[in-house]
Amino acid sequence: MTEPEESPRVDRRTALQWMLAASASLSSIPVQGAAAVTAKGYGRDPDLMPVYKPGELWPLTFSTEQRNLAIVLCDLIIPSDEASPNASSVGVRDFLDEWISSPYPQQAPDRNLLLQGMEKLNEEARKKGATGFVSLAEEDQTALCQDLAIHARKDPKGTGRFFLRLRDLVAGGYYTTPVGIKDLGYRGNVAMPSWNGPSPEALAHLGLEAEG
Amino acid sequence: MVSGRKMPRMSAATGFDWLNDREGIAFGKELKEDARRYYGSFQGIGAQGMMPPNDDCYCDLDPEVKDQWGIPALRFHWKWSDDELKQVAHQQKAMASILESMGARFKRPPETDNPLKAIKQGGKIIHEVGGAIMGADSTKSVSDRWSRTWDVPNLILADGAPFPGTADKNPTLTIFALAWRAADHLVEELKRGNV
Repeated sequence: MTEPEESPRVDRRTALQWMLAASASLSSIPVQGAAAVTAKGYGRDPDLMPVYKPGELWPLTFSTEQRNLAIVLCDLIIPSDEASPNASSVGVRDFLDEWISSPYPQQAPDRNLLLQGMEKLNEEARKKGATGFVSLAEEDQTALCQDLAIHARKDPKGTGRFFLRLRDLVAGGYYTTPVGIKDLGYRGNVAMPSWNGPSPEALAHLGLEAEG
Repeated sequence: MVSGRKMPRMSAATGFDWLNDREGIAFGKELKEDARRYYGSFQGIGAQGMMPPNDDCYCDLDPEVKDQWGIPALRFHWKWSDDELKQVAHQQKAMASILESMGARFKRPPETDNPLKAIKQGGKIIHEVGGAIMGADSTKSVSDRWSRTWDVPNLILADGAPFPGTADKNPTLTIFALAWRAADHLVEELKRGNV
C-alpha cells in the first residue's frame, strides 16, 4: 500500500532566499491573463441605482486557478473567528479581481504586482513538488506568509512590496463591507427622535447636576 | 491615517504595524486584533497662526514685466519671519502636550526644533485676508471705515482685503458684517446724492 504523499514543506531558508531574489526577477515572470486593460471606466456620471455584479463594470482577470489562490490568500490574511467571518465569504476575492482589472491609473500598478506575486507563490510551491500554493499544507502556507510578512516590514518597497500590498488590499476590501464595518465597531450618525441632554451619569462624572 | 472613528475606508485597518514590535506585518488573527484595537484611535491636530506685516513682504512695480497694456506688473516679495516660525514651534509644542496628556504615541514627532519643516507653504491654507488695510489715516491705510479705498472713491472692497491681519477665527462672518456695513453706507450716500 502506497503512503499518501505528504504535502511538500517549504523551509524558511528557501523562502527567504527566494524573496531576496524576488525584487529583481518579479517583473520578468510571464503572467497568465495579464494583458493590458482596455476597458473604459464608468465615466463621470455613473448610474448609482443598480447593484453591479463583479465583471459587469469591466471584464475580470483571474483564471480559475488564480481565483482559488486568491480565496486561500484572502482567508490566510483575514480568517474567521468567533466575532466575524473570513474575507472570502464577504466577497474580497471578487474585490481583488475587480481592483486589478480596473482601467484606472490608481489601480494599475497593483495589477502586475499582485498577479506576478501570486505566480511566484505557485512557482515556489511547484519547486517543492506541489501543484501550486493552494495544495501546500496550511502550516506551510502560513510559514511562507510569515516570511513574506517579515520582508513586508523590513523592506516594504522591495522584497516585501507584494505581501504588504496584498495585505492592505484584502484588509481594505474586508473592512469596507457591512460585515467588516461592524467588526470595527463603527457606529456613525444615529437618528434620534429626541435628545434630553447629557445623562445624569455624564453630569456626575463632570461634577455637575441636572438643571430644573 | 484618519482621525477618530470615521466611516471605514480602504485605510481603516492598515498602517498599524508601527504600534507593535512584531517581526513582520500583521496578518491573520493578529490583523483582526490590531484592527479592532487601533481603528479610530488616531487623532491629529492642526493649528493656524497670524502673520503680522513684515518688511520683507511688500509689492513693487516690476522693472521689466509689463501687462498686455504696457503697464508695469506688480512684483510681490514675501518671506516668513521669526514671528511665524516661533508661533509654529510653540503650536507644535502645545499640540504635542495635549496629545501626550491623552496618552498618545506619535506617529510623526512634533517639529519643535525645526518649525520650517512643519509650516505649510505660504498661500496653501485658506482664510487669507488683508492687503488693503482699513484705517483712519489715508497716509497709513488703503481703505477707510466704510471699506472704500482712499484713492479710488467708487471702489469698495467687500471681501477680506481691509483686514489688518488674520483674525482669531474664520473670517467669513466678519467679512459679511463689513460688507453689509459698507452696503448700508452706500445706500445712505445714494439717498443723500453723494454717489
